[in-house]
Amino acid sequence: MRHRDDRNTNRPAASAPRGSGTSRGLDRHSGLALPGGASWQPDPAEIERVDTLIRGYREDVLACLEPAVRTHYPELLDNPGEEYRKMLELSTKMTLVGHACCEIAGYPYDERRRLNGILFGCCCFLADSFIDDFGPDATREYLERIELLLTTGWFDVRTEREQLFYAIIGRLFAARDVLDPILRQAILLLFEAQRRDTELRLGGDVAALPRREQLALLRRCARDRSGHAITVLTGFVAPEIELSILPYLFTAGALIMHIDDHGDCYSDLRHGRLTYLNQVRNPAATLRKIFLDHIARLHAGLPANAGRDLMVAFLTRYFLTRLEKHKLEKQRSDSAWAVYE
Amino acid sequence: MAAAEPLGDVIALKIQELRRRQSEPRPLVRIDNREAAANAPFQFDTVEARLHRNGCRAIPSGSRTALYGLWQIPPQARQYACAVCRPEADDEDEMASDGVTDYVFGVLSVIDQFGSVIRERGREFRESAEGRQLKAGLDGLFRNLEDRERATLQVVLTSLDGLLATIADLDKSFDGTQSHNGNGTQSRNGDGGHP
Repeated sequence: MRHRDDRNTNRPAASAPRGSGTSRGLDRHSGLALPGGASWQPDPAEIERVDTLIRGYREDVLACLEPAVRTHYPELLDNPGEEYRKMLELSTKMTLVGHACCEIAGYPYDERRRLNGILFGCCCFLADSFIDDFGPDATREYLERIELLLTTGWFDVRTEREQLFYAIIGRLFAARDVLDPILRQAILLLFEAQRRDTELRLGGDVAALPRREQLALLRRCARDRSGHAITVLTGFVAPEIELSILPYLFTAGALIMHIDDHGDCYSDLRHGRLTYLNQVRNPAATLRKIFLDHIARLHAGLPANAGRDLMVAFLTRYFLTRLEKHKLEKQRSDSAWAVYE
Repeated sequence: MAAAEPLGDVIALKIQELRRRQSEPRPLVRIDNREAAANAPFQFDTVEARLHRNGCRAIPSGSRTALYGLWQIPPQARQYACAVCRPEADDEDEMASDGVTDYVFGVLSVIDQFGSVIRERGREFRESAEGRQLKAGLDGLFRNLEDRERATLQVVLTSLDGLLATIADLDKSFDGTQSHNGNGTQSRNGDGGHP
């Protein structure tokens, strides 16, 4: 889950027009008719619940992260690029997704688990900034240093941003048995996915591949990045992940990445970043198909509980807002951050 | 102005500073279990929701980046068994049954690795106002213990002391032919001694 520019920083509940969670809303706002009466179709009340939760979680995230930022990296609070606000929004989204994952895993999303969701969101934001924002040499060096952290536990803290990152990681690792066999594998799979994505981007080899292979590779990269990230998130908010839900968590993560990539289509292209959704010929229709396939699979495969319903409602809401964002971004050359505020 | 730093953050950051004091820092904690996971007897494909034996030719190439190594087959995973390789419980490998001893060795390795620093910090702390206050509190606590509780505590402390002495003797007897604290070696099942 990445954040560069306005990536992952939208406010799905706050930005979508009211009523857009219904199939009628989908028709009206995206122009992409979805089959009416599908079994996965979220109840409007569930969409409202997403809105309510997001509002509450935004306050929780602020209360948790602001003291940490003030302590370790106060400069971030004054950052003119609104980076701090973007960090809060990503963490808010992660807190909500963590809620759904925790309940899918069969555990109540209590305060302690919510805290882990917030910390993981912040951790992702900072780790992504190391990889995305400081140039190719720094990207490669950070990947080496993060691998060293994962293989030895050592991380040489050099800047205030890194101090905040490590303090957050320290809190997360203290809150959860990080040596759980599934969680530690998920962390390493996420790291490998990030590294492959980075190599693809920095090496530029993907452009030389035949189109079909190129698309398959880009799609797999998107799937793995967010598929493994959501598994790590679940590992931090739930005491145990049953194997039976792993494929569906992975599916939900992959869908989030594709939705993200469609919303960020134009800013990604401006930065020369190839994604599956900005390379296919008809991205909106492709995303619609992916959305329908993934959401039906999730609904059919996950245990019928509040977590599943929350996840489906969130994804529907997110799909809508990112379609809307894509359209608006097409009309504006500027960053779409303003769309949400 | 920076806000007060929570104690946990201070400890986490101070631990990282210890690395600079060591000429050849040994691993602190290894989260990475890629090698062990790749060699686990079973592989669970999260893309296709399929459980395979390690090396099964039916594992799709597109799933190679989303495989989880498993040492045992959880009951709920049997429904996902691959029809080609038919994974069975016979192939299950031992998970760490010696989790408790791994914890002891973990604590000892930290003491071994950072012993001099911990001692130095302990001396400083004992002389501080907080240290003196804590010592008075501990003395009071010890006085108030029942005879049986006091005896139990004494046994625990003596055992720990004896264990440390034994480990130190063993360490010397290795004569430098083995890894100093064993931290760099793989645990038997690669899960880091998860109990």
